[in-house]
Amino acid sequence: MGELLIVRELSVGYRSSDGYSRVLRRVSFSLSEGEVLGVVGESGSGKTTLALAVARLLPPYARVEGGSIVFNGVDLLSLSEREVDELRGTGIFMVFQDPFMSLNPLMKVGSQLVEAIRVRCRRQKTAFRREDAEREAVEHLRRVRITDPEDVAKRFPHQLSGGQNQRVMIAMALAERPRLIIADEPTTALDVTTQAQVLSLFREIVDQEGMAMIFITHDLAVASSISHRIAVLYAGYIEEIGPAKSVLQDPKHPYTVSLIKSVPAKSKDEGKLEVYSERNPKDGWSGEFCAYAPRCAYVHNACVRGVPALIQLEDRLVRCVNYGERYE
Amino acid sequence: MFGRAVRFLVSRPASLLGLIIVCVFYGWSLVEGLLQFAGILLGDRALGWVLLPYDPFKTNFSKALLPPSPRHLMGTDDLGRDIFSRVLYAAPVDAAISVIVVLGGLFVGNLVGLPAGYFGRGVDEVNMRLTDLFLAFPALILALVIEATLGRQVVYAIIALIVVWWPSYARLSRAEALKVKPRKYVDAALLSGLSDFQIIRKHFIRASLNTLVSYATIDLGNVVLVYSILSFLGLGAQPPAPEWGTMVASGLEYFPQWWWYSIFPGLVITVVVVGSALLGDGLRDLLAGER
Amino acid sequence: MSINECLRVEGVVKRFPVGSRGLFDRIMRRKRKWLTAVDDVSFSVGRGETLALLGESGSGKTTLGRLIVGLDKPDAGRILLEGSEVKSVRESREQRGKLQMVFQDPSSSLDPYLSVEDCVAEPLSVEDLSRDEIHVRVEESLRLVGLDPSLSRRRSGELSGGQKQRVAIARAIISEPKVIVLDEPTTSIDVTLQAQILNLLVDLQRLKGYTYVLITHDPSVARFLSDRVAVMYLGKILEIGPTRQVLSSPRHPYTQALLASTPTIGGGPPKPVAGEPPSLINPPQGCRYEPRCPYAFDVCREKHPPLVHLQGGDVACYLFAEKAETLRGGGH
Repeated sequence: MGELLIVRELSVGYRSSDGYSRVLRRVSFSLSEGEVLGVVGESGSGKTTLALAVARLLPPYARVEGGSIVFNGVDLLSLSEREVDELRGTGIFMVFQDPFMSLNPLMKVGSQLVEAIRVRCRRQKTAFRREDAEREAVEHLRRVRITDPEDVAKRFPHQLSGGQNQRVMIAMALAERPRLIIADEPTTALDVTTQAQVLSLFREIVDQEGMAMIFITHDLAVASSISHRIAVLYAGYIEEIGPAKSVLQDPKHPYTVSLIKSVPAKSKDEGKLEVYSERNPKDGWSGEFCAYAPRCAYVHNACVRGVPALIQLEDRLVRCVNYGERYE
Repeated sequence: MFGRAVRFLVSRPASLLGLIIVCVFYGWSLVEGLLQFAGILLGDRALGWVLLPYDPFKTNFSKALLPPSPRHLMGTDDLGRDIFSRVLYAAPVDAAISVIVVLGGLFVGNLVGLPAGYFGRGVDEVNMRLTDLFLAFPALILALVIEATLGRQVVYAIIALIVVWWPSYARLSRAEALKVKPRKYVDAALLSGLSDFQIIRKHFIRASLNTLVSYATIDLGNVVLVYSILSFLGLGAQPPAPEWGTMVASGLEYFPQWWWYSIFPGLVITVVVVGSALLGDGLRDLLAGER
Repeated sequence: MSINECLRVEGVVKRFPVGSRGLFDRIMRRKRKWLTAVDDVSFSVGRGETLALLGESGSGKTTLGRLIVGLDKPDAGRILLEGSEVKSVRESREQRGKLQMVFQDPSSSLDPYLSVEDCVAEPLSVEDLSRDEIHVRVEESLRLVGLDPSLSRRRSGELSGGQKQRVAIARAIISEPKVIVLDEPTTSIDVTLQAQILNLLVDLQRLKGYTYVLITHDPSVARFLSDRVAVMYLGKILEIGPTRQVLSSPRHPYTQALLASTPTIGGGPPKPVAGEPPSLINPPQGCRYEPRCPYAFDVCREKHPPLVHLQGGDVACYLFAEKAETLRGGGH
């Protein structure tokens, strides 16, 4: 079980009409086969940028300032566009929040699955036969528990529900057999019961097919239900990263603590919910010290002396001077 | 906020150019137009050419068809009149017409388009079919027909142009209304007890104008162009009053040997059209960035 | 009607036409398809109480919320506010201040071109107030929701998401309403801000005695904020009762499935419910939940079960039909 993906010191920024803003700061983590890494962050934390960066789908106004993304031994950042194209369908599969972004609205669902199979055959250099592929497509649909798969295969995405479309995406992942799935808020737009179906499907294919997965979400509970490890992202920094169970049961970083406590776990008669301040991460932060300091309940002088470095603490890494004064 | 807009426009060369052209055109037209108006009121038409190098009506056959020179920047026409002075004298009419037509078009267009988008169904059908009806006619032909029917006066030209112009604003404002309608603050306004009319006035007009203002600015130049064409065809201001389109028409006889007669008025028209287009473009970028 | 009852919903039905009908369809007299969003719903809410309408998309909860405030008119049944019938928004201006709504998406709730003051003051337009009086009321409202009154001059589009939601709440309370419908008030806000908004809503209710109808799909929000919960599915109420009872010991199979599907921190993958979300155009003939219910038996396919009153709540399920009569021990 080697490391499938090693991200080291990845920094990404965006150019906009207002100037330049850094969105990811020296992010590092690794991922093995069969492992799910949950990346949890609010809007503006950089989580989507991380997904796009690994999938090499960053928009033209994004700039990778530094770092490396080593996938299967190859640094993706060192590849040219053409080499990345050849790599597609080989390793990395991306699932978006809105399946309509990934599914072709003009192609029947079954045909799109057949395409995915064709891509896989080309990569694996096996023969591609249309009838076999069509049958296999229906099997994949059945595998993701779509009722009447033969019928659904003949339909177009807009004729299916959001939940069905997301499951079609998972079927495509099964057909293409990538080694890494990057899912960016794939269940946010779904109903709770549909979400449960999709989550258990994800976990199933990760376990059964030995794929690796980066699951990005703002919902800690969703991340908790599917991840082996969890990384908490804030203002482009990884603030805490470690095994899911221990991070959730015994959170170390103050931001992680606030995320967990933000979920209402009682009724109003039992008292108010705990509150953390509202300010925008960019307010009152110059970039020279801990990004969370302006909102942190445990802030003190050491926090503004510099940007805290990630410290090894028990089974995880934490970026907080309360556990040791070390700076970048 | 206005300052920010100006700074934005000034920062880009294209929209800066447009801004300058538009300001010069309308600024000059305002001054000259007031002088001409005062002249008519006070019975002394000469006020109209106080700021001009020459009297635009004075004929002088010995100076006919002189080429451009430092004394006659755009040369003289077949009757010896200074073309530059005539061009400057004619500017206020085009400026006034462009503003009246665009404002009129905006008014009628929103009157038709906003309720169509807001109420939907019956009102939408009726209003939009009416709009389609007017859009079906090529603009110029419709203007010609209206004016030919009503008479060859500037007032009728204005009416004809407004009739031609409002349908596109109707479509645009309807599209804006459709964007605003599903927003929850419209529901909130209903819950506050506002009537449909009050809601349209408070929440829809502003949004509509925000989008339409850039089109309207570009249209200022377009109206000048179409009105010049009408004049060119003889439906605008009647001679001896100078008008850019008419001057182009008159100059055709003398083209290409005495090219300046047609070219300069035409050039001025072009500059105004391009200037308003550049400014309108800049406005659109400005407003798009604001959203 | 009891003295303390504030809001009463009786047999409300709301249908929407499906698809567009062109001239050709009309000539051919093609039958119109209807979607029943709310299907014979009845309940009441006491003064100062919070009732949560808990359900997923398609359950009818949002439509019911709009009917309660008068944004839509029911096709059958009626809605009573303190004994008088609720009229739709265009029919009655006087009633407007008493029924208010806080919407889900703060960015869509406020007109970005208007100042905060203009937004918050809008419900006061039915009253005849001078500008100064309006200004005073707006400041008071902003203070109540924890915002600095100087914010009133800012353009609403410039505010952050959390601030916008507070402004929306300030607008909802300025007319001293009796009932406020909260449509997913924290769903579109960052998770760390949700607690603030929820606390604020509780404080306001304790201070002013508002009656809340909370629309949500999130059981933990319902658990915190509401006194009673009505679980909705396909336009019907399947279970209704005190929050603690319904969310801790759910009786209806759908409630159980819904709660089991909701991911929790520290929990593993949630147990999925079988089957597809239902079609609203062709709902099942019998019990609406029957196609996905693990306990379904024959009678479930014939007719949708009525709500039966049990100790500590009502359930619409044949599993409990007998219990209602005999009230055996062992259940509640």
